[in-house]
Amino acid sequence: MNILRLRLLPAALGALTLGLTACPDRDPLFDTSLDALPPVAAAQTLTWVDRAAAVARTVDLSGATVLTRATPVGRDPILAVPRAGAAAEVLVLSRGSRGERGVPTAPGTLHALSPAGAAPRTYTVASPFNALAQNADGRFAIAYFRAGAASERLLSNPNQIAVVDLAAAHSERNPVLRTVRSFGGVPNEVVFSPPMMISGTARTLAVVLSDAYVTLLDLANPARPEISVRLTLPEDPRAVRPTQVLFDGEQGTVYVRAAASNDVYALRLVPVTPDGPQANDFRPSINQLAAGLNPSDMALIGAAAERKLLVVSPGSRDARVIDARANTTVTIPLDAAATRILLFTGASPRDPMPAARALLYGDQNTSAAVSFLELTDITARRGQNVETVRLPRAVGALLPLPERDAVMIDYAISEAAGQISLLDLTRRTVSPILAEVSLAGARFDSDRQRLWVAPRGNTRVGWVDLRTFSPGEVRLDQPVFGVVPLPGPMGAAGRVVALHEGAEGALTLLDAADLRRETARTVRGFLLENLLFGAAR
Amino acid sequence: MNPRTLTAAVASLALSALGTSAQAQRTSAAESPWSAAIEVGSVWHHHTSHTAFRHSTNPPTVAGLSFGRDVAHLGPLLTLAVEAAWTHEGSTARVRNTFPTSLITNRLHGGLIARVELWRWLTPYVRLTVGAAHLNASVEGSSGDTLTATRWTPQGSLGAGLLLTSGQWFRGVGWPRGKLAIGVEGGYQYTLPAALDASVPAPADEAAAADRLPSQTVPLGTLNASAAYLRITFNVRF
Repeated sequence: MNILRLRLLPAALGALTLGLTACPDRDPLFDTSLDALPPVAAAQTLTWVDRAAAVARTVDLSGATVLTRATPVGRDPILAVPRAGAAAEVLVLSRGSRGERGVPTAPGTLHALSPAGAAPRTYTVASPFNALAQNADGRFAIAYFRAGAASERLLSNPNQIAVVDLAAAHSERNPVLRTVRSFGGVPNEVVFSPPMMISGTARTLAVVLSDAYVTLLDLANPARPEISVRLTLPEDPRAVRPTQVLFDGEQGTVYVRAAASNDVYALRLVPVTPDGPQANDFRPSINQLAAGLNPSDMALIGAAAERKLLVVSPGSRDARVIDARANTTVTIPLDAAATRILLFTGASPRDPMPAARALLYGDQNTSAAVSFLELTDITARRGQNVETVRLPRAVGALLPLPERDAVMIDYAISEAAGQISLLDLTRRTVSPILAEVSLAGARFDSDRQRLWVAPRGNTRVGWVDLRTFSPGEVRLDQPVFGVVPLPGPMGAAGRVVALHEGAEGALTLLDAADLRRETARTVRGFLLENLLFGAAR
Repeated sequence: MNPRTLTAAVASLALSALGTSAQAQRTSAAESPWSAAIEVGSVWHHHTSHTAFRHSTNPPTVAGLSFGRDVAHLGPLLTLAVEAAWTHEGSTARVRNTFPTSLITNRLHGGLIARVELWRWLTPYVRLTVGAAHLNASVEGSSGDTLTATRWTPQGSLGAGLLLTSGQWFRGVGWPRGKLAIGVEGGYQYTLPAALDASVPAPADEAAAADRLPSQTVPLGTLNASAAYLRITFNVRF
């Protein structure tokens, strides 16, 4: 009896002990919040980045079944954006980790994720940057510290940047880390030029905008020093903040408009003989041009040989045509104050021949009229080239439809109907479109055949067919907060994704070729996919 | 008397006593072949997948019912019994600081019990079961919808325990076969890991369900519900 008891009891006690001692700790990921960055569209995918898990979750919407793929990214991801240009990729900027208990230190990284699921490219940018800029074709990216954001490090250098060549793999020379010269400021924004003809070669410039100065970087020669250009005298206390940059590639000129300044700055890049192989072969020659009172927008007009700058200034209610080389300005009074410029090529009621024209309008309820400006012979005819068209209400925002020679005007008022008008750029007539919604957040589909709206909190998504301007809508099961049209694979019809509220991820997929409720389907909870794997997913 | 003779004599006496006791117990067991039990206990899951449904290391509580019958007496010591049982285990938690979760596991199994009838009042036993577990996992979304995944998965367990049995306390009320027993058992239950695919259940209202857009399931991952267990049973034998 004792022998049997002694054999059975230890077995039971052993099993019990095993169970007690093997009880695992709760997966730490379960106690973190699911805080996902806004979705990024690339090809037929949408990518959400789970910040706490440091995982990019790519939802492939190309097939009959929605597939989800998880890709690890750097710790503390802070930004996810589509890569510019033709390469359909998602760029995820991560700040890394300064080290916590159980969490090793990790450098800042930039991940380039392929929607096809190829292995991501990882660039170690080292510092915990919080902003990213790309050039138009997506070849170069610059990670930088945007002013105002906390670095969350004991020491940080806000003027450090990382120049990443996205066409090349990570190497000792890619990315290039450098500190831009500072006159006491920090970068507000980085913009890229198109190819600029400088010293006979085309090259891309990065322009770092800081309060009261700009810094030029020659991306074709990243080892060369940057060139900083003050926009004010050192003793000038004005907060002249660069807000808009235009590039005249053929003439090698950079135009800078700045808040709190009535001038436009023309930086002409003059070729010089470099002092050495690491010296710049150009220098900027700055020309400060009067541009009226509170210039708010500018555009380049005319052919390369006679390129001019068109500036609208609501403070002085005029438009100005500035020839930076001749240093001349032609002022054109406007009946209605304009804050924005829309260039287009089209006919007019008096001229059936397509020609370069401009629509000058005031957004954000500045004005209840728009001005059409004939750009041909503008310096001679001046005010004779202006036609003012009255609108029912002040303009809230304007959505260009260049393929249709029209613009949609959103009056952005709270009334239930009549918020939108269609302005025909050729006939210069205004047609109301009864709408219960604003155009805020409206999205074109990939071939710009439809314009989609998804008013937040509404259970319907609507569209306007831009070929016929006939509207439509589809009722969904859940309230929406956004809509993302996706291109179709290989010329096939695209998909339209309606995004629903819910941190767990919820969407409705619509077939752009057959826009009916009967062809829609939903997926809920895709951000919780493989939840049970926790941190080991 | 030399020690060897003494040992032999003691062993002989002990075996005689055991045989007498076992014969009495066998007779006792034969008199009360049926059993019904309620049980409570705990389980100790060892896989992290389960922690999505459990806040702390405190083990979930299990309750259940079982019915059994003695089916064979193999010699003077060993009695074989079969049983059918159901247990219910529930746990709740919150994941990602947002989503309440719950897991309800109902286990249905049949068991084979081998009892060693050493004494009338104290009976060691081992218990082997096979059956299936029904997993019902849910995750409540932040928008109010609840993702639910249900799945049957095979399971089995092996445990050992002790059964403390009363005398014929109900003889006075005309039920001489009735006895009470309390048992303590520890062991391990293996549950085949199950992939859980979750979706929002259709509304109960038929019209609303028919109007709903088709929905795709979302794989939550694989749940490993195997666990060590400790159960306490309260039995009525008759």
